[in-house]
Amino acid sequence: MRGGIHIDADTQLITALHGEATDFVPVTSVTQTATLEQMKASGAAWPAAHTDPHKLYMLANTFRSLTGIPVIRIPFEITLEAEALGCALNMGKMDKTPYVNEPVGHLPDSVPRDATSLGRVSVILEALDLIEQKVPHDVPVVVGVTGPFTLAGHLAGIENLVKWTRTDPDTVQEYLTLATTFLNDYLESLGTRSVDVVSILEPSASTDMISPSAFKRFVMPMLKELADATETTKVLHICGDCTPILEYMAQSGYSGLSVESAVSVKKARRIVKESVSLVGNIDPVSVLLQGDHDTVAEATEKAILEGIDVVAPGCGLAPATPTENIVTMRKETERIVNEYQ
Amino acid sequence: MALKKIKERSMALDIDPDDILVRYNVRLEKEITPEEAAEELYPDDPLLKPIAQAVFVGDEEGVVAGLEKAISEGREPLKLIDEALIGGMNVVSKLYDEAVIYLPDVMLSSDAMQKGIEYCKSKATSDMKPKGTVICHVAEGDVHDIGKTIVVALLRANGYNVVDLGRDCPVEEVVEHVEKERPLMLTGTALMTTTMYAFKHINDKLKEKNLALPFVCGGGAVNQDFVSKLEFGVYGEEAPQAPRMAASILSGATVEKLREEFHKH
Repeated sequence: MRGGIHIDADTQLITALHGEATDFVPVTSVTQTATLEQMKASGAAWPAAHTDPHKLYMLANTFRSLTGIPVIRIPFEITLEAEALGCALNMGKMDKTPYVNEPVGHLPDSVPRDATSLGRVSVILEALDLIEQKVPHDVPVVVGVTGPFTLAGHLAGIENLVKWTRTDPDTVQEYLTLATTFLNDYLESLGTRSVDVVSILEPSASTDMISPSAFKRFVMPMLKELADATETTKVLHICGDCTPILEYMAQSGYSGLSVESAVSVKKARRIVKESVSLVGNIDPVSVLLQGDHDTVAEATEKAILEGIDVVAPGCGLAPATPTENIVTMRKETERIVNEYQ
Repeated sequence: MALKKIKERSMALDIDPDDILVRYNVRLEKEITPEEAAEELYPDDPLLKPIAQAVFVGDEEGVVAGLEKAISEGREPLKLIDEALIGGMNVVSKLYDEAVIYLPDVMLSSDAMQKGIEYCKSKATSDMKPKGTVICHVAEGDVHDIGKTIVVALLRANGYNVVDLGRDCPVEEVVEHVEKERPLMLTGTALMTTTMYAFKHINDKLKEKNLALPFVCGGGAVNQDFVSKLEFGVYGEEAPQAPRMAASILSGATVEKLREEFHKH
């Protein structure tokens, strides 16, 4: 709300992500949103909520109803793309996200023609249909999609892929090309539903894993290709201290960059200037999981005063995160925005 | 409107002394290649230097060739582990800490070093007596074992016997092994916020069974606050700290002492 004029939550988010000068700062999440308290409240828990479209929708919708943050963000994990391409998963537990049990270990010959009908892609599409039917249309829908390097790491084994960035660049390229081909198809199928924001999650491309020059050489071209292929508003999320690669991330064609608390918003702004918006960077562990009201309030104020465009958790929420802390993040954002208007 | 100003101000290049220092650093890093940075850190000894260099670039064959030459000139294989292989790996650790090189470089160097250690052991006339046993594992539910792999390699390189329980290791199994092996120290790594709570379960079980020992926890999701709340918890921020911690324990350091020595912030 501003000056009596109501601006819909989805318009606010999209406007802020596109970096237009605004005097509002939306609060959202472009990373995993589910918590144990939401599972209890909705009756839809992990791991069933990863495979049942109705439970997936219910749990995602409960984030919104319990925290008051206007967003539906699905799914809760980053393995469904790997599963579609043949990786065996362990589906995790109520408080553990699914993970790839064993990489495929070899390069699949090609992406199957109907790859998006494999695995749980259909679960996501069905959940999006339910959201379309049941959730007010001004609530932004955010879909997280595993990035090409992270997906290639699931297929090849991340240790191998990381080493090959130095010893075997051709094989890295082959895996990345395959992953990107699949992701293009997947994004295309998401484009047939109403999705407001696609959030590409690329944890394995962080500077903890590969060098900035490897990021520029291998990952950036693939990220660009994906960005060019979809018209939906896009956010790129990379974990850890991505300051050394921010420049490349900003050149990859995404409206927003989602960063963790290891990144100084001030420094990030100086690097990316006004070319992209910055999303984040409230620490999901030391602030949202372990912190109290004051810790959350301080972190939220700091992020806004340093110039964050959209307040959000810096990475996926830990399942044990108290709802209260997430609510504080929202209320503090609203309080500060009001105070400065 | 004021929020717009905040954003504008944050975009303006007002001078921040911190930033100037960082900028110089960045420039420095860009001007010096990793090879140049490493050059001044190698041992001077002409027989040791090529081995350390080969470890640095991850050249397994070069490591073995260098060791062969040094041994043929009368050097003692087990001493070469310390002087040349660990010497080379120390250069790797240092430049990794300074973000001159990255994880893939460390992994390749660690493979080359491992190869060298095996070679030296096969040539040794006496057995190398391990300094002590350390148990390493990745938290239950977590499959990200790159950090642990490096910890294991560095500990072995420094002469410790390592029992590697691998990734996704159940709490019970960790406690059983501690009971059986009575190691100097236990390490646990977790990348995901969803898995690090296993460390609390391990800590509580160890307490229940009176198996007090330093439990070094580290990895992406783990932070010092979380680890400090565990009775036996010592927070490890970087892999190269692991052998230094083990050495401190050998000279009598308790959990309390280790925290004093290694905890930051």
